[in-house]
Amino acid sequence: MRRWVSTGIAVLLMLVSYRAIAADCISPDQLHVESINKHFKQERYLAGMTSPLVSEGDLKVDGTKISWHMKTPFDLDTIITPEEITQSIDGGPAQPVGGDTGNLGATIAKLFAGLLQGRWKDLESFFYIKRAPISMGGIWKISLQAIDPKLQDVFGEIDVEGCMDVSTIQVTHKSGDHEVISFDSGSAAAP
Amino acid sequence: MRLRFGVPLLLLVVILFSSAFLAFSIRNKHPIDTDILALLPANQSDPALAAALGRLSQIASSQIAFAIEGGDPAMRAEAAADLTSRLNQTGIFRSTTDDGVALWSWLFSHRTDLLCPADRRLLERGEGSVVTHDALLKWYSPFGISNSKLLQSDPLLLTPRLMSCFVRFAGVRRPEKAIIVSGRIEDSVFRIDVQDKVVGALDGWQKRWSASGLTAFRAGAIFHAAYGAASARIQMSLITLATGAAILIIYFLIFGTIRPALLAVLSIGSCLAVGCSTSLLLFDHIHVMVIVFATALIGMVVDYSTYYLITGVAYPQGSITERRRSIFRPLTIGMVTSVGAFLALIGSPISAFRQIAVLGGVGLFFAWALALYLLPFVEGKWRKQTRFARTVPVYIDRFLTIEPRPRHAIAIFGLITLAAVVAWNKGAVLDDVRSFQKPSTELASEEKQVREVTGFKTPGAFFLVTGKSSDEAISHEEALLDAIEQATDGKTVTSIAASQFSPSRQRGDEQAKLISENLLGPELARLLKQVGKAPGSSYDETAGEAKLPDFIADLRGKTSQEYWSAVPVSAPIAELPATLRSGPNWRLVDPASEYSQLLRHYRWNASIGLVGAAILTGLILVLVYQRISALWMLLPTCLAMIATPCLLSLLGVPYSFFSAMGLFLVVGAGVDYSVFQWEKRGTDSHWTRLGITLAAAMTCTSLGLLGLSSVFPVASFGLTVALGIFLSLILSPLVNLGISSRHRKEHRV
Repeated sequence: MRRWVSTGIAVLLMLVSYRAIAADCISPDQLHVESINKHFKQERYLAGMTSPLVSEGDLKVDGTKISWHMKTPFDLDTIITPEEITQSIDGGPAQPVGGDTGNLGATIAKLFAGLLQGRWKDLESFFYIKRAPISMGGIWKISLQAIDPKLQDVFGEIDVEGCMDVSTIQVTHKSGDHEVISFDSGSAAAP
Repeated sequence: MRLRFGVPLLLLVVILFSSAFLAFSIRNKHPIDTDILALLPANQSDPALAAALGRLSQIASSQIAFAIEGGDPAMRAEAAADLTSRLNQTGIFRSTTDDGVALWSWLFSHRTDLLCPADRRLLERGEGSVVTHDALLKWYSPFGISNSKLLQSDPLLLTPRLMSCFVRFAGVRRPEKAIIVSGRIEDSVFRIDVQDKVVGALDGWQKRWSASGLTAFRAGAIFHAAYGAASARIQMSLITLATGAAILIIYFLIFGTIRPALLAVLSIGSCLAVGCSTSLLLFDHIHVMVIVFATALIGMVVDYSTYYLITGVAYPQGSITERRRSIFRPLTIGMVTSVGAFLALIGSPISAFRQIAVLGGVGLFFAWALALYLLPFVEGKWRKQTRFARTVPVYIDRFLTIEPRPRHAIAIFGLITLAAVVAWNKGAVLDDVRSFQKPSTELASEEKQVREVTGFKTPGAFFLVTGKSSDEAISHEEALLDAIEQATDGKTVTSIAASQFSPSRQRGDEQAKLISENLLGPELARLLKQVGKAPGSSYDETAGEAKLPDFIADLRGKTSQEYWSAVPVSAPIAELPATLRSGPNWRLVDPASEYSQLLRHYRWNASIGLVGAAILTGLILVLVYQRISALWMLLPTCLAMIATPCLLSLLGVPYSFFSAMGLFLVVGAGVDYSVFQWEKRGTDSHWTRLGITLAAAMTCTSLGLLGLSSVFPVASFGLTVALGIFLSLILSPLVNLGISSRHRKEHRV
């Protein structure tokens, strides 16, 4: 009898702990992050190349301003705002990128910030959004496909994976090239 | 006998052939041109400038853009694809994306001999490593455009580097609100069939999508041209209806039967068919405003039928020969002076006026021939005079038979001089082409909407560069770009320059050497090693025989004497340094002020030419009548010629080149009334006076209605001729001053 009781308690504890573990992940719709400060690792897989191009650095998101600071193999800080994209090389002064590409930059900035901050509603203006079925509290996955053919060329198909916040973004291009950007745990502040 | 029926038969054959040719041309050749700029003069003293103005205007007018708003993004994307597909089906649309692909192919195939100016300086300083470093940063950057294909063929990313240097990206400012469909029309947007195709595609799209709440805002000259053509159709209908109604009513009242009115209408149709088909034989296209003028010509053409048919009322017992003889001389002199006035327009620098010259000259000659040689055989029997026909000449006679004294003439002359002085001081002239047409408010508002979303803007000013050979013109353009860079500290003031994409032989060789020796040689292997790719011959591959995209090639041209190229300016002219206004082989051209200056120049020339036209008409009169006193017939017309622009100016219609063109017709056609007054003076000629009054009334009605046109050149031309003709008629009694008292007595007797 005591064995049954202890087995029952153990099972109960296991169930409780499983639920407790599983409940660590929030639903993607609950993801509302205003600012992010994370370390990223980007791997670019290009067809015909045996090893990926790997870069690492820090990502900071503050409202609509994104700082993508690659530190290795080069020091390049790309600041994306709705108005423009600037780059600063080796800590030098920020220079606007690509002449009049500010318009495209503004679009990219909005989209990228939307991805990281979980603004799915805003992203619906640009992407067909498909949510994979998730078990309660489990890791969630969302696929995005650009509506505009021009944006399809830039983004291809995007798969976002996360738990409490976005942990991995995979961008697959039409050519078969793909990029995997993974974020380690950093800080994410709710609005 | 043979002659008696030979001429009418010949006239019938000409009418039949002309009508068939006209119908065939309109159906198969779509010959109507609706370009408002075709109403502006070409610069005959500078062929390169004239060619460049024409080409830039063509480039600007071919642009087309739609901003699709409403619905959700997915719906907008589907609607944009549908609109693109419908436009592609017209076979005359080329989307901006296609141009981008063509440009990429060209830059890719020339990536080893083209350089951005900044990169050229880098390589000249031996700093090719900067280009390599930039490429490496792009290979590692997020969401870059670099891909595996470029890694094989352009690892230094020279093609995208050239694209971002030379091409200003036209993005969508509010992508969450609108999607853009843009491109260019590869046929003349001023042809009505081309407009119908594009408007038809848009109508089909609207039928499908407007119910879903989507709206396509339009931008492009094609829509303004279609609007202008639609306005012209309304004007033509209005003028035709009003003049037609006036003819029917007046003819019915005078002749008491519908037959003369129907004959007059057939006569008008025949003259216009012959005039239009002759114009089409001589010109590839005829301007829509020439067609509008043709409808206004109804009022002048019908004069000849009126003169002849009135003789039936005046001399019901007279034979055809007697009636014809009674009006032959004044009618022929009137025809010769009117046709002469039209032919004077052949010297005009504006193609549309040359077309009017042919149409008007041939049309009036044919009207004269029909009235004298065909109408007599089809007019039928004459009935008794109507009450209206008996009453009206009495009132007309009261005025037109006035025998003015010299003091009356002095008073009229004084009044006209006063009007001229006031008009000279208070009146205005108009040479500014920007004021010539009021655009549709609906289209202007839609264009503003598209501009807000895309920054879509039609180019204005440009630099015109010339050279004795193609390569020399390109070298001069390169020198201009260097000068611009120096004067503006590298600020972007031009939108696109063909020499950047297709340089001179010398510049191309220099750049190829720089790229080979200072970039590919020392840097390529280093970059490939860094990204982990085996060394290879990445830059041996070309994209085959890439063609210089049309939108760049169109910026160059050749006249019989020299080669030219145009570099469109993207900055406001006022912001350009004064040193750039002109150089040894280039000059800054502002099309609007260029056309305005030309019009000012031609306005003066045409005004001086009017004096010549009056002298020529005077010589004809003296030659025909063999006496110097015949010049009295010119007095009313000369006074009308001076008074017309003065009065119109005081009424708020500024004097312009187009007023002067109208006055040429006043000289030629206005003198007709004086000729009839001179020929048919005396109380027994009241039927003649009725004829000239009706003729003038119909001319004034049809040409005066042109005054309602929204196109200033047309309105100005029509009002000038209408008022000039009216004044010529009411001043025609002044010819009596030239008749001696002995002659007067003879006539009274």
